[in-house]
Amino acid sequence: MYGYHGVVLIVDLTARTARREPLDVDVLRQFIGGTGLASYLLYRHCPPGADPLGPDNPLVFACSPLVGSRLTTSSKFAVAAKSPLTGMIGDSISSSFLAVELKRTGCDALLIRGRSDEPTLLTIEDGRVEFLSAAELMGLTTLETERDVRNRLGRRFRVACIGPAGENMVRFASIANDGGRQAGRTGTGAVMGSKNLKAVAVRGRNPAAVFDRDGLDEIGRGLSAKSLGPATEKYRTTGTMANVAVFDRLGALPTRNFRQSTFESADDVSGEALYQGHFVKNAHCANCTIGCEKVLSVGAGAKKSTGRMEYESAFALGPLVGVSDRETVIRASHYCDEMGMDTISAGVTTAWAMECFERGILTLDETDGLELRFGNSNAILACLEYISNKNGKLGTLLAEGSRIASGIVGQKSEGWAMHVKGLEMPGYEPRSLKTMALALAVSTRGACHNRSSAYEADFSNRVNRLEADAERGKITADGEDFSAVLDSLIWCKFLRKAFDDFWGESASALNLVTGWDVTPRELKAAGERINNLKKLFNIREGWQREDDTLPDRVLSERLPDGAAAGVGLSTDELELMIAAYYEARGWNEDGTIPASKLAEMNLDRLWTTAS
Amino acid sequence: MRVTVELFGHARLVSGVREVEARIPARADSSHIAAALVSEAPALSGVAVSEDGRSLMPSYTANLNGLAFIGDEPVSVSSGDRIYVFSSQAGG
Repeated sequence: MYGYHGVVLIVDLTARTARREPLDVDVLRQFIGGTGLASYLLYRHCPPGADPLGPDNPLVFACSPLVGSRLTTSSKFAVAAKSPLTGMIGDSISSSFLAVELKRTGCDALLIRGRSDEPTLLTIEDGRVEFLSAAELMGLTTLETERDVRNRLGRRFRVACIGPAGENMVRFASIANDGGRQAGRTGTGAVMGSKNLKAVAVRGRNPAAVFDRDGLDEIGRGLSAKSLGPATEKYRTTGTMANVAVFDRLGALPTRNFRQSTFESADDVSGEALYQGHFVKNAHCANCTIGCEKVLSVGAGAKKSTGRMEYESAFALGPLVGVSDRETVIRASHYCDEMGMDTISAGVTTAWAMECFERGILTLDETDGLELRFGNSNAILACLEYISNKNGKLGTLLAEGSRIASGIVGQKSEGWAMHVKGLEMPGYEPRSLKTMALALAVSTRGACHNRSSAYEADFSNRVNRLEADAERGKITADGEDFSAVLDSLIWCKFLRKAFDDFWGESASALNLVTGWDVTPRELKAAGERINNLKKLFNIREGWQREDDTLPDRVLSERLPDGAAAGVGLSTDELELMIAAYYEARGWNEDGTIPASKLAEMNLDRLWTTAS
Repeated sequence: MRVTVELFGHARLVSGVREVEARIPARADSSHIAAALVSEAPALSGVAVSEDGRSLMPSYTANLNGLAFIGDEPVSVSSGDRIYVFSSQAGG
């Protein structure tokens, strides 16, 4: 077999056993790798109704056929589990050396089930699996944990770990690797923490064979050259944080818990200001020519804080919480990375709490004395500390995420808890980005901007971003299928515009790695299949039609200012787009998948087996 | 028409200016924006504007007042309008 090992390594933390299970080539060809393979394994191995924080919820790390190929941006892996935030499919992508090293241990995926009796460091060195004590690692930040593990085992080991947030099972805890990269969304860090698993360290000497190395290297050279061209300029220069000021001008920058879509201090925390004031260097993932990561620094001496900055972190810890102080934005983002928390969920949940405080629904007693007002920089940083350590009344409440927290507090605060299916909303204002609105509402992992890239249509003349129409249905479905293939092969999303013919070039790359004869059509079908499988998982775990929606605020309040002043999104408009999406997907009007569609996607046997 | 063209991201950093004043026709397409930019901020040649000065680079887009995107089809422009020139890669 080329491109794969044909093996999933299944580790049971309860029994302290490990076994290698074969992966059928048909499965690999249908689900490819990355999120596709991870979703398949999750569907197969997660018992229906499993507690996301219980031992039966598997935690899956999945590589892809392109990992180890040396193609630019291909060193990525997916993480999947039943999400403790949504109770539905949770998956995220991270990057760099861990992906390569994990695959070199001789497996295409690692599936971890059970729960260890004591804090555990799981080591995998080629075929050998060991369960070591992680007692001395508990309480360490993600960077400290990675450093200590590699000092202990050797620098060739690569580490995936959780910080205190994961240890405390903060529902939006992340998994970190390779110096601060994060599998950020959907709370897989909490799942890892629920298993008493502090870290996974891998080292391997067994790369998967490549079918046509010379052919692959040739297309790799071409792709690398294109990756340094205009299609990736933003990512190579100021990075994604450049979105802050642009979105402000377009009335698409969620501000003060989505009450506004422009921020009067946007220029103070813009990407340009962050870059000019604090830029240190670009950082690259393994085998990446683009180098999108912007390392920023603030402070000096013992108070120096250095780490990566992306748009989503800048928005969530800046305009969304009313903060105009760059130092706070940078420190807050780095703190989340070190403690192992999703910056988006942390920021959005904090913003919800701020609005509760300002409305008098949360008192000083309930905020442990914090004046939790929009713009209070000290309160933001203190709040994040409470959350990550699950300290006090405030930390205990907010660690549950905005959906559960608002359910506990009640008093109609659910109306301004900005999540979909329990996953907090990213920095794209849906009322002024109508295609994105649909994608957020229907995404299988909750409010997600990465599983559809629907915003691309909104940032063009292809659609009128301020008006809803049925055309959005197919645009969103196609975008999801495209993204599913990106996330399963795995290519970095920032490379997507560098292709002249994405489907043709991707099929070629896959065939050169594997020796298969995959066609572009087959790849597209795989993308559709993967999205249908994720929906199937959600239906099995209790998805209801009303879960495909947007927060009350979005559907009832018009934007008050900026370029999109007066624009809203009605329930009727959203329902129109959702109906069009279901139709484009070939689903029933209630959003369920007809048996004929399951059969068309070769998913009927899976559904029957699992029912 | 007298408009203000605001630059973002790499274009702003390379040109050293946040915005420039420009005169463009009342019906303008992206080529007019490109010509105005290269005249007012020559450093943008080869960066945001093609080296022949006739078009925006594929990595850039122009937007009128935060609403319509300006491409090959002309749009109506009024004095006092603001044109935003930023990366065409919307991802974040």
